[in-house]
Amino acid sequence: MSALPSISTGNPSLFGIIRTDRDCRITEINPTLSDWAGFEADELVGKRFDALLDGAGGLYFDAHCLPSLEIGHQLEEIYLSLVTKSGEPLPVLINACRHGDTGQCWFEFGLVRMKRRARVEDELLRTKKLAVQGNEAKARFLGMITHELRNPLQSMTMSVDLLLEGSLGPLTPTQRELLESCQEAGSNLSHLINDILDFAGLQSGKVSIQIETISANDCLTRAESLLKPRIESSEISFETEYLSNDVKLNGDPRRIQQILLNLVTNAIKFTPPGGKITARLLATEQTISFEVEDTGCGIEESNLAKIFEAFVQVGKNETRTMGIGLGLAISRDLAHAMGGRIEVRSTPDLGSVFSLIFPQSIQ
Amino acid sequence: MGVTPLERNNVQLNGAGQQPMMFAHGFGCDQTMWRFLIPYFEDRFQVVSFDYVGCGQSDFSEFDAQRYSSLQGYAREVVEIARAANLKDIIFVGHSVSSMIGYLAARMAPDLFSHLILIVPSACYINEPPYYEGGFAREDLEGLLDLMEKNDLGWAGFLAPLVVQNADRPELSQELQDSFCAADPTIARRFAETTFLSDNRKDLSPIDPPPLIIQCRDDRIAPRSAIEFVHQKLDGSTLECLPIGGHCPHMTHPAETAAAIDSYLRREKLPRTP
Repeated sequence: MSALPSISTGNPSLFGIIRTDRDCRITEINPTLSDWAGFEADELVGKRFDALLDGAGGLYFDAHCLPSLEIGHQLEEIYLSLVTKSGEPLPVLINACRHGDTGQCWFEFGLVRMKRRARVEDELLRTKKLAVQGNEAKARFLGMITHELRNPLQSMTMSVDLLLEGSLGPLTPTQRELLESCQEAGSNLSHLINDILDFAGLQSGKVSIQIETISANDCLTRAESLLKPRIESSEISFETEYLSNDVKLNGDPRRIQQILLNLVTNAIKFTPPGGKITARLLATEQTISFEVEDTGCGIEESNLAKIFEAFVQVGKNETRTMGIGLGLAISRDLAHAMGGRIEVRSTPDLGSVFSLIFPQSIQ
Repeated sequence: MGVTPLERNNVQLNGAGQQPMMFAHGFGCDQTMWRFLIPYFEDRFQVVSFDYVGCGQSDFSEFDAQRYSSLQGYAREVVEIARAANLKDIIFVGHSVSSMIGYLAARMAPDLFSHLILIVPSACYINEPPYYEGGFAREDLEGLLDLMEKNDLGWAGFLAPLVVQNADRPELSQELQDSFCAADPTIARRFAETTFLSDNRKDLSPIDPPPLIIQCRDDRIAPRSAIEFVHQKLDGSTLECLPIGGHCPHMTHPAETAAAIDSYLRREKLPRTP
């Protein structure tokens, strides 16, 4: 039946070869395969190919590989584990094809041993599974913890707000000062918890993004008005540069505000009094960028990638204030989720420029 | 606006006849596996074939892990397709796990189905010693999922191989080459879990008219014991044993499979003339 030379004799080959009839019964094997599997040819001829496989391999082969071969496809790089005569597993990579047409066909399998590679792949798969499980567990844990933290915090801030409104009677200046300090701490804590929730959501792919077509200039205007109080209370000058010809981009306006707030807040944190922050829009033919430039302490080149990692804070100790190092990680992931990206360039002691870059909206 | 079942499941309606014959593929493939069997029936029946969500050219975005965690979910899909295509008096031909899916669909919507043809059915694939031999130990299923994972890239080997060029087989077109066994690995894994962990032994009871069951002589996935179990439970069913190895007689031996089906259709006087 085979138009090809016999494989059952001849010099040892680097590859194992098995030929079967159309019912997948073994008709020939080469000496190399015999050597690997520990079977003589006459022990295998007449048996179905899947007799060399364990339960799982047989399932995979019969449900998927064989139908594919039968319909005329060629198999490439299929991993299976044979079972040798002594019961040992023999991981192999298989290429296979059909010869002839359906009525008269037969199959040929070429095998390569991959014991060492199989061990490495197993270990890679195992580590990958652990990493994925770890990430999922971490995200679930973070989500749960922050929900538990939110409730008491909400109740505290409501009480403080009530007192500050004077609903329960007038306050002395000292009482007011203490309560305002509580209010600010509560607000910071609330931002922190929102950051953690966002981070957990992004890690597990569950954060909400609503994409709209929006004006770049409008985004900057909104950010500027939100940032005004924060900037006025610092001793840093703030400038904005708008586009003379406004352009559109596709993004979630709420999330863009969140990123811009984060970038400018960081700039304030790392720029000494008397410094300057500029928020500008830049457009090329394809992209639209929101740039936040500061005259702060800058970032060492070796830290430029690290700053986007979660829970990492770099900078001199005296500049590190509130926060747990999630802002840039969240901003980067949000930018990604909207089809954009964040880049940074920086010179230590001179300042940094963070760019939030989007493709321009195609009208 | 939602996707219709006909779009979602890439439903193909062909054939010159009136009475519908619906072909449902099994695990590991898609509707192209019926390509060699369907020609035997397309002059007498309306031929309906489809891809389950996550297979072939179905709309993968419609995959719902919760729904497809049981064969009932797949059965509902079949009923939805039948209703969307206004089918009645359906002769359902199911391969492997689709045999059970078809049986469950016929129980869900008996008004839609006329006859069942079950090709290598099994109600439960896992052995339950000492009394039930499904063919596999539970560890084998875990091993299968492992293999699927290791061959994730190997699935691409199915999708872009060299098709044996054969002048006698013009139907092995580019379309076939690209679509056969196309599957999303995550969805394929879920389909494997649902299929091989399913246990429908308690769901089986005699159904009227009694179905045709086709068995292969040497079938590792649906061994004789499992098929016998289904045959016994579906009291009155016809069991045809083909002297064929493997699990896909409709692909390897379409003529013999068609002959077994035709013999049953003649006895049941099908297709029904209006």
